[in-house]
Amino acid sequence: MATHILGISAYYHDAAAALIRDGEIVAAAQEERFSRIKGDPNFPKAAVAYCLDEGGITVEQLDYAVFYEKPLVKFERLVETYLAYVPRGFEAFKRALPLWARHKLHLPDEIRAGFNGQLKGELCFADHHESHAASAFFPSPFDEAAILTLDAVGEWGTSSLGVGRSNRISLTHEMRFPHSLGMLYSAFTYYAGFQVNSGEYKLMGLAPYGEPKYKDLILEKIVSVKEDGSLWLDMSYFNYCQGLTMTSEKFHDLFGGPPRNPETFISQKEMDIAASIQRVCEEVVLRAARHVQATTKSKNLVMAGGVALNCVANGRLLREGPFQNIWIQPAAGDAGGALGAALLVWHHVLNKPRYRQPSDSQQGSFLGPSFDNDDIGLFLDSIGAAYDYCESETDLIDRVGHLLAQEKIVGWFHGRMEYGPRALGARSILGDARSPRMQQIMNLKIKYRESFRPFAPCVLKEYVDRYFDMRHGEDTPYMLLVAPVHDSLRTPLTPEQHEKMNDPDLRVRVSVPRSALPAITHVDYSARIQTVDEQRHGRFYRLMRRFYELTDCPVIVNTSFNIRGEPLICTPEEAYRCFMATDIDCLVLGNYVLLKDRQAAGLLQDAEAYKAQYALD
Amino acid sequence: MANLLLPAANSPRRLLSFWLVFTPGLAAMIATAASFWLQANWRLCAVVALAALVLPVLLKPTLARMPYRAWNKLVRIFGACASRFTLMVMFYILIAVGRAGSSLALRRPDERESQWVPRSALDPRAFFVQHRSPAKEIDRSSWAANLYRWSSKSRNYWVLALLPFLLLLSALDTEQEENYPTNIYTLF
Repeated sequence: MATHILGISAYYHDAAAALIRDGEIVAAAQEERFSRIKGDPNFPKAAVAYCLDEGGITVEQLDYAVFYEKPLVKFERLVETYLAYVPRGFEAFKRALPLWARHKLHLPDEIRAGFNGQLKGELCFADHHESHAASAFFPSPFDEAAILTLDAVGEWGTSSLGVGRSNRISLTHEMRFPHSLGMLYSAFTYYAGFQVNSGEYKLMGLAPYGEPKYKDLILEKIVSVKEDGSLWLDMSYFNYCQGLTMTSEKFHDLFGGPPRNPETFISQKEMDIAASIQRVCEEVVLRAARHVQATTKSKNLVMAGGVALNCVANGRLLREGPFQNIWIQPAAGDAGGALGAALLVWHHVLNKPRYRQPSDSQQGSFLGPSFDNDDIGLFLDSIGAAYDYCESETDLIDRVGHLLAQEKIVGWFHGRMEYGPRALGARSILGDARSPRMQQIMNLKIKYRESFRPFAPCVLKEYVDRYFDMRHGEDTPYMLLVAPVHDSLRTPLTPEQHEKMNDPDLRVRVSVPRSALPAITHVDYSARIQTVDEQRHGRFYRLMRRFYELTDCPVIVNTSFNIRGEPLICTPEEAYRCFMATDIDCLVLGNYVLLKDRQAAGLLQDAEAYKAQYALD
Repeated sequence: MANLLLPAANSPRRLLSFWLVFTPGLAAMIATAASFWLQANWRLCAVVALAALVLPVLLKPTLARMPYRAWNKLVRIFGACASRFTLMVMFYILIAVGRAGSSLALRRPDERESQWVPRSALDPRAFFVQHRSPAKEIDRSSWAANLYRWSSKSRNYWVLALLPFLLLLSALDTEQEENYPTNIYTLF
């Protein structure tokens, strides 16, 4: 009889569920993909239903359900924080306590109610950072590895380090709240006018435009970074413990003014601040990694936690750090805690052995729902969409490869949806990375944003070293590393382009071609890379291979199939709606190919109404 | 409080039920006032008031919609005021306890002092409880009992002083949407 364990993360942000059967990952998905609410924190009812359906079981057949953290330990941290700051902090207190009194102290009941009272298996509670650590180590390709989790905050821990061996992880040290690298980065995200908890990647993308002018000031006044990568924050510069803002007046005085208002002009000051905090963050990550390597003597490192999504720091760690191999959980944020918690019960509570996979056991992170051609055909017929059905995959990829080579923008929907924040080739918008106009078209007419960030490239794994400063065959299948574009591809700037690089409008600066692959090259010649291989990516790999045969270029643009503020699309209906509301030229749903210019005018979606459904992130 | 808050879907049958439950008390009050001012028989006044209140609603139940909504509004206002008062009392308790200090390490440490603190792995037996202390058996007790157990195991006995207020707060649930700031990393 197989053992089924369901992991759940919820009630904070980005709720998710993950199902494992006898230690193997069956399914994992974030609730936002079903509810269509970005970062949905509610009990992941739809994600749970999907996982159970994928596993072919009912709630009653679950042996264990495990929540990814310890609610009462978190409550202790919350109360201790108020104790430290009284009589200040009533505004925060009066918001938090009712929520705890009414819901969070009743979590077992809330979770059982989420299962409609049908859960017969045991309900467990894991530790937040152990959940992160488990999500990083157990699916990794390593027998043993050093573990580093870098987060904002869990119960008490904000970061942790330790070692994983065979079927055991052991976190030996942690940094404790309120001293947190994640919180520090989020505070600067807030100050730069981006949304906390979702805009951190924008701050990272802004950093290459600036100079780290404030780095010394940050290190001198705000944060004391130790040689071993641990840190101490001067809390007088922050307000998140006792108030309703991230930063305090003292912080604002230090940087010469209040936080930037969201959606307003981004000045050079914000760029310099972004560059400065990014540099500090990289320094902390490098020091912590060196420390954990010295402690564990391991040549492998696994990472998780929200800060592990900082792919610029990850890239530096790979190039300059002490580890030969690094594996990062693609769902590194709290959503990944669901998977880690389930794996912890299997290995730690049930003491079951671990069977390591040579690549990894994350299955390319394609752990969400899939739709077969019959389902897709029924849907397309029901709405009267115009399509061509390609019987053979060869015909399909040949056609799509030609479209990409003609600079057409393709919505690509194939196989199981991705688990984690990145589109990795199952729910992606694809384009030709060589096209100088691709970046602007994709940003303004498809994503509906005025972005200063270039898009991410997919590259055939066997050619990664020809295009980027990486080792031959080096794996980065989850788009979690940034590396420089190869020198040979860089284009020198003309005097006119140099002039443009001083333009206060970042869109002008990012539009200056920096390499033979302008759509994916950032102003500092870096790119956020996903390697594509046949074993993990199957048809997507073969499409890229065909594109390479046609163009001699093994790199394409890959961005998430959604518009700004919208969760990644999940179903063919959502894909079609997005296709019809944007300037995507071609939609590929399984073996169906749909061209925009062949769709009936009546099926076109009103772009403004479509955008209005989603709050700006 | 959730028990006093009526469902939003006010069907004619629900409106009528509400009104029939609500009117005897109201009729009694009107009868008392009328018998006092008019020197009339209380029972007669009560019958007249009851008839005057019930009959129109029997004929047209939607007439009770306004008092139905008013009731919910009053319950919400009362719930919000009582919640705020309870929270203030709790906060005063925190202020008193806070004088003894907190375990948050806010003081600047020595420059070379590492901020990594040792931690242990979670005992497999602790997976079945909401705190870190290993349990002999799976905990299926109520949330209040759980809180009590955690406070004693973690030596946070003082939290027991908050327990009655937490119970009160949970009872004062008015199901109102809370306004949480969106641009802060909330700690809860």
